[in-house]
Amino acid sequence: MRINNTVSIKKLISYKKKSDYSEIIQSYAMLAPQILGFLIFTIYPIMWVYRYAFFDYDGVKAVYSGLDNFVRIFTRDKLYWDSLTNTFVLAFGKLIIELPLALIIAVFLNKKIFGRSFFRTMFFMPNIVSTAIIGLIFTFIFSSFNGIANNFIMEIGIIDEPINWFAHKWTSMTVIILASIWQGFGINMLFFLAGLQNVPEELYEAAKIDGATGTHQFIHITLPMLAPIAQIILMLAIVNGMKVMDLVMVLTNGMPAGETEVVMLHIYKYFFPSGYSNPQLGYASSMGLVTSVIIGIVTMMYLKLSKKVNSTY
Amino acid sequence: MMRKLNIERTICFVITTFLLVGVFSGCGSKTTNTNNVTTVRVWTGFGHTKEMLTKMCNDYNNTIGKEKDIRIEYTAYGGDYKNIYDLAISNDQAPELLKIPGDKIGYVKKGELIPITDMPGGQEFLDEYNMKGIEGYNVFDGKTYSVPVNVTTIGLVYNKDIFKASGIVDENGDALPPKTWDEVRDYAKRITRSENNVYGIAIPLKDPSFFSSWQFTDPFRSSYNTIPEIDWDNLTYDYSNQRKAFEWLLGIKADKSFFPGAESLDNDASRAQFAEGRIGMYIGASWDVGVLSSQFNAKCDWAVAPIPVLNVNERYKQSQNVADFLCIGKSALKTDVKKVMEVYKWFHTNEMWINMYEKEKDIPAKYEVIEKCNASNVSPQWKQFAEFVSKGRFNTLPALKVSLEGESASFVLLKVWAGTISIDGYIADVNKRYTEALRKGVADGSIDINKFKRNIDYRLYD
Repeated sequence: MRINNTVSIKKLISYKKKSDYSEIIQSYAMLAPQILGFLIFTIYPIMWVYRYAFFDYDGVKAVYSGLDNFVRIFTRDKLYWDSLTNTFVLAFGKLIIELPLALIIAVFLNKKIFGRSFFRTMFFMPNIVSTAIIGLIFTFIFSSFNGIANNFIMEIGIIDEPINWFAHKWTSMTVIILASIWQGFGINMLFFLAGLQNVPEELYEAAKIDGATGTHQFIHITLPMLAPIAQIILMLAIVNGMKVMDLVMVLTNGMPAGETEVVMLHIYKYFFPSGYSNPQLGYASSMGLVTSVIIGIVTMMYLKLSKKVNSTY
Repeated sequence: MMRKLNIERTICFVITTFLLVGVFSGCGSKTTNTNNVTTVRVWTGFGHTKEMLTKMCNDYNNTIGKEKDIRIEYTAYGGDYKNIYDLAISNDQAPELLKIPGDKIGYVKKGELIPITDMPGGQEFLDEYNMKGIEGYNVFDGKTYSVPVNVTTIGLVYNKDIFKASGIVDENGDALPPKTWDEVRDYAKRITRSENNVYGIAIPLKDPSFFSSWQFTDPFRSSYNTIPEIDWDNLTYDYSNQRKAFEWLLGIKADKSFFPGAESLDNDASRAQFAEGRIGMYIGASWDVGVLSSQFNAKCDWAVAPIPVLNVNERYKQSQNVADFLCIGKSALKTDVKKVMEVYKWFHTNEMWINMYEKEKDIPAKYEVIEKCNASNVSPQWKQFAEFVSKGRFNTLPALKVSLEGESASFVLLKVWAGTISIDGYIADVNKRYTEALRKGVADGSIDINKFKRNIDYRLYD
């Protein structure tokens, strides 16, 4: 009996090992297309950009230029730093409104209110609308000619003449921020909603028993419990805010006179110039490299400063 | 458990097979010669002629093509045409004949294109076609890769109804278009009645490179020999002859006689507003005939006038952009080159371009071809744009592209409009940076000044 058991155990182990190898091979086979795609469409382009950052490359001829491109960025290209400043203003300017708005709406939609599924869907819808459409919508809303925004503000008597929203830097930035908030707050609302649903109900019950008001519960239970997920949401929002390009391109294209140009749009214009300029792929690549380092530094600083958030609860 | 494992393996195998089929499905066949019939693939990115050319190619295939054992496979791609072509090159699936998306120089240097003279009967074709090529556009190092076939002309598009309503008429009561830029400014002021949503002129600044070339610099070339002036001996740019153009533009701004929201107005939106009868005039191009008849159906009676000038006694030839049609791809060498050349010649016959003109698709570059067209069914606006061919000069110079540091002149133009830089500041800034870029290009050999030195008198003689 014992010998039979040993034999059958050995068979089982041998079978289990073969089965493990087989599963491993299957797993990698299923992952292979995704990994291959990641290598070809993400890693390879990144390496391409990092390589050409050290070249003077116009799309036809590449001449090694060493650090010349980086010297140009740091000593001669004022527009790059202006566009970077605009990027920070946009990224943080919209966060100040977008995240609190998403949180407040998530708190309301976490309660058992009539139509909450409908509202959850509606608030998320802008996130799936094409950026080009959003740009068009807001261009029409804030149009100087028969724009809804101007008509409304004139109707309630705040102004007598329509505002030319896209003629000045700060009015243009306001429109971009509003469009960006409208587009992005829905997904952040969903993230907060997911976080809220992981807060144990018992904590609220215990707080209620102790006499805590709704505001006390929000400040002392909801916010601390949401802190870890809020850390991730804020980090994603900062990184995505710094990479914004398509919305600015559709809404203002950097107008007026390049004053709302963001860093990604500035880089894009060197990759794909209009008019009688050569593409400067090498210089654009070096700007991309510098920008990615800056975004990386901002992210690391943020994670370091927000480290304590993880130990809140 | 074994059975479960077998099912998993089967599913894995089936999914992998599907994925591999998808991956390799792009590897199709190249040129096809079946039963001695040679298929010649022709690619363009032109949507406006797609239907017409597809029908013409089908007719060819059923008639001449059957006699000569040629089959044309015509494809008109959309906005992603360049990507598709680049992908086709990398997969060795580029067509035999194609309209090159963008600049040809890169493809010429990579050896993707064949000079016409390398094809059988190519030199004879060029001798008969008898239209000078443009070095740096369709001629590179003395070899011709395509021929100019059509032209886009510009003109002052104006709303006759608004002109009449504003009292801007001639002695017969017909709308009187302006002849000078001062008159444009004056008429724009007279036309503008913001309470009625009518404005004098459209200034679409959202795409500054489009505005500054087609609707600003090019029109003002009728008042100058060239803009900017380039001193090839000293290698300097001089934009100072744009001063009067800027003074005119800022005058329009001061008068508030432009359609509001210029900074966010693009060309499509301005044409849409013109079609609605809200704009008195704008600088348009020959493609606007199709736009204002189909895309934005004009609700007004409109016409086209010659581009205004600063001084009526000093008029230079109007700018117009000539374009080629097809180039010959290197894959033509892998098939019957004589038949490819047959198709190439067919696409460049007078009959083809007469057809294009009569259907208001393209204006032939040769005025003698226009004169052969039956213009009885053609709209008056199309005829008006076509008339400029005899009074114009080709603007399609070899593309003098410089590696510029900082913003292009068209973006700095917007700063002049916005008031953040003066006209003098603009001139000083672009002169300096463009001159530096030009000298750098000449020094490193990327710019061959012999291709660009011109001594041509563009004065228009009546």
